[in-house]
Amino acid sequence: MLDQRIQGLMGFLRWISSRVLVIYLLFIVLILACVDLKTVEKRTKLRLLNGARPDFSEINRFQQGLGSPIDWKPYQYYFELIIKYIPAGDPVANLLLAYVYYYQHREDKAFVLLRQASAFSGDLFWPDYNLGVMYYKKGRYEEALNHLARALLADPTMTLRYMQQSIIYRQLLVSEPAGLDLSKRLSQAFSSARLLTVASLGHLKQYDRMLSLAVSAVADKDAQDKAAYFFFGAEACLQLKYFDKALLFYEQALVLDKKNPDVYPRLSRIYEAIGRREEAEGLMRVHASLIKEGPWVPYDKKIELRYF
Amino acid sequence: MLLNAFQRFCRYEPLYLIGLPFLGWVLCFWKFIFGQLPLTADAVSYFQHIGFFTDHLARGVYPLWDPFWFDGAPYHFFLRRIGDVNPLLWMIVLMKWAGISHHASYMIFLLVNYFLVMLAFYLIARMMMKDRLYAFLAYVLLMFSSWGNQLFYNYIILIFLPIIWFFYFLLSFYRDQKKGSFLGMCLCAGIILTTYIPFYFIIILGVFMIASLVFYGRQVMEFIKRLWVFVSSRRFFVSACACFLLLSCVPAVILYQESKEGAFVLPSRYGDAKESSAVAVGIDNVANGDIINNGSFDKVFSNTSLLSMGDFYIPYFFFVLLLCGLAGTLTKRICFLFAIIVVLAAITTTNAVGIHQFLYKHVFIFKFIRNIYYFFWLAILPVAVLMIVDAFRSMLQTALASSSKKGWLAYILSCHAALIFFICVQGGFNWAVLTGLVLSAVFCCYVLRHEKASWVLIVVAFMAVAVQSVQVYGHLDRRFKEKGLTGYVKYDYRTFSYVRPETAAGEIVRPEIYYSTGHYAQLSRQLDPVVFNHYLRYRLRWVDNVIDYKNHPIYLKKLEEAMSAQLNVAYVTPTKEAGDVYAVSPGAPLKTDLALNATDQLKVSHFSANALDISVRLDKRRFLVINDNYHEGWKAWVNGKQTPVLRTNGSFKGLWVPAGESVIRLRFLEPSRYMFHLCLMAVFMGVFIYWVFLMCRQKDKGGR
Repeated sequence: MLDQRIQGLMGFLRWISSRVLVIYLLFIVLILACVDLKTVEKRTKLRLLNGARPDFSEINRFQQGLGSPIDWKPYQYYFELIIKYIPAGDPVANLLLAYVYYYQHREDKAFVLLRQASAFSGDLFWPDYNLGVMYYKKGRYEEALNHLARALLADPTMTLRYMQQSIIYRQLLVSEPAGLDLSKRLSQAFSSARLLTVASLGHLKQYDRMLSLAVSAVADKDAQDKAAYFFFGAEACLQLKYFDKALLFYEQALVLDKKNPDVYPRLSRIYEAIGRREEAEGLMRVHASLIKEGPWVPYDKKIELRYF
Repeated sequence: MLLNAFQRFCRYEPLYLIGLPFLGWVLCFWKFIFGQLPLTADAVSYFQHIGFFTDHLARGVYPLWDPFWFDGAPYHFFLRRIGDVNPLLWMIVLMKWAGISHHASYMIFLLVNYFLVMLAFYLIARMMMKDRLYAFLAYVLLMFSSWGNQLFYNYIILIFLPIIWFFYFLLSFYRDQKKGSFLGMCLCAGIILTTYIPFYFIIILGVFMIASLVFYGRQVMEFIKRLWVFVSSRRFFVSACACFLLLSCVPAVILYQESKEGAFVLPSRYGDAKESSAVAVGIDNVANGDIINNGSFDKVFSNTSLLSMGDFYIPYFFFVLLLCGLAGTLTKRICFLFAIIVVLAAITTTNAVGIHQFLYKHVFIFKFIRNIYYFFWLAILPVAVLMIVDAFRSMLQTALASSSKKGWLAYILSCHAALIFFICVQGGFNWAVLTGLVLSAVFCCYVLRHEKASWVLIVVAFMAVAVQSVQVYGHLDRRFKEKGLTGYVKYDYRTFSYVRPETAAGEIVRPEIYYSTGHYAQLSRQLDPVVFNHYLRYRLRWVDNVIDYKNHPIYLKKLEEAMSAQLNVAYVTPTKEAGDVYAVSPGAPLKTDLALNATDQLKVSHFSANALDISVRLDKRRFLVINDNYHEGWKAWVNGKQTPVLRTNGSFKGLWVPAGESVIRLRFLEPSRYMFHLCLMAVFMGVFIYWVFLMCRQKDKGGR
């Protein structure tokens, strides 16, 4: 009985050894013995990454508000691949994947990634900036304030250096015009962060801090969006009942930006209170015509997520 | 009557077995073929070079200089790339004479090439397996794999055609020592040897010969004896063939010499190569062109809808045959084919195995192959298809000989189930996959039951292959459209343009030079691209001050300033032959005198790739700068008297023109060089015609 079994087994082995299967097994053994699998793995990853690299001009245009909504999938795939292949983590990959997730309406994931990026590198301005913007948009002003404050504390020189040394940023910027001034773009983002900080303080009813920050921004000769700071300063003054200061701030806001319809009714009320009724009515007429022109996007609502 | 016609049709095997599936493939790629989707990657430059060559040939000019390639470069390198002696290129010339556009004629040329490649593959498979069903299976599997994409993605079809026909003739000659097969071998080898990369062929042939010796040593020895008998009995014919092969090597040898003398450079290809030849490739560059870097196998099972042009794809029917074939009897032939695959695969993986590094160091030809992954398309894939089909055939023979057919049927179906499971896990399952695999199961069951090849089997096999391919190539169309890849640049080869169209400031970037003259590459690297680009807009200019130029940063700075400000000065590199050519005219205007169009003072009377005739009328002796690259092969005659052509402004041509009316004639290389190339083309055409004659005579005598 046992002999029969052994003979059967031998027969089967003999049959198997004469099958094509043998050469495939031999091939696998050869691969394991001769091929440097680590090199293959490393180079395959590199190839996959290179192959997955999308054209960044579209996402860059979108970021600058120049393009319509885009197909996020290639970007998502690429940044996910980078994060998968770099176990140590790359804050820039996190930042960009979070950006993609945010516009894919996967905010929870975006928050996680940005928090990780923020923890990875305190030198980089963008993760905290984007966290601040996202919290602000969700109405969580306390958290927005914290992250915007952290972003404003970031060293612009270090951020720029970080961006210049990052391979992902180099890829992103290839499609951009040669004369792109990164430091100018960064200073714009700093200005946006400061503006959102002021707006957040307003939402948190911390009008003293709001006013002092608006005043310091107005006094800063390099600050951008001064009309917005005058407006927010005036709003703070109004809440603090500093009507004479509010009047001056609103008037200055109007000089710098005549398209802001929110200034007119407020200024009109102040004019009316101090007896300048005709001017007040005139302002209300302008306000009505501006309303007819179309919806106005407030300064803080214009601020979007960015990566350069 | 209809039945008779159908039976007659069925008797004509090539028509339905080869022609109809090929027509199916053409339908899959009709958007590329009809120009709705553009060529990409290397296919674009080959389209342009073949266009340039055949346009000139149609006009009776054999081009050895390309004035449009990076402001002038020797064209010999490109002639070696396209294989100028290939008789099929005359097809394009004939179509151009008939008024057909270059795009249409080039597409027809590509289709003919692909058809001939597939035909040779079918014939090899048929010769090997002696069964039209399995030959057909191999044929459709290779045809509907992504080999077809390569036509629109790179140039390997041009070298694959002579390679595969060489092997067909080799096998035919092995079987039956006929003159036609021998001449066919020589013709194919000759075409390959005239190209600058005969090394793919040489390596494949080497591996094939070594594997043949290992597995079929006795048969090889017998074949050598038969070959000796053939050679002894046809000494004159064999000697003529040997001379023909030696002659075929001459253009490549000339190119090699030119590449060593610095007539041209290939900076991106050369990399860190230690060879003196410009065609050599640095070892890191070879690694960039290996199978790990280029073998895109990752989408085969996961998502074929994301397939790109260079990615690998083969219908899943192939994997069914592979799995089923595992139980086939291991034959010597399967081992032989497998050995070829393993050796070539080891070479193509470069630094992951180490064989390539050894060969690169010790075998001369390995220093000249960059895209080493082409071995996959040229040999590994075709041989793998043959091996898999042969293994499947072996399995079927075992199954048919067995008493338990049900067991084998269960095995085949379980192979299908396993593959479906695997594809599902990988996320690549869809209706086309399912249909293809159901059809493949039907095919396998049918063949197990009926044994003999029939119409039904052939149709089912074709459907199993084609149904998935139609879907995959449909995705490829869509992805291509989405990406919006651009086509090619069209040049007017006949007209000399005095001024090139201005490039938008934002578009000026330092171009990555693949191939150019050495001086041009250096200048392009060192000068400000905006200045250089603006300078190059004007093809001809007069200057009065000629100063010497040396390869030194100070001179380069001066040159850049002169180019930027369009100063009335030319910097000329001194030569012994030219003597004193420098001159300074104190009263001359500050700015250079640009030739913006044809005038009484200057008019281009003749322009072609290798020649430029200019009629001029001058009040005083002036120096003409021609912004077309300098090369020692250019000679100039002013009013019939030879005048030295000087390297001007770092990289361009310049010459002194006397006062009064003059006719300047510029010619590239000696007439003997043109005669040699034209004679070589004629020899190849003659051999081709003689080969056709021999094959026809062979067929009349009852051979195949």
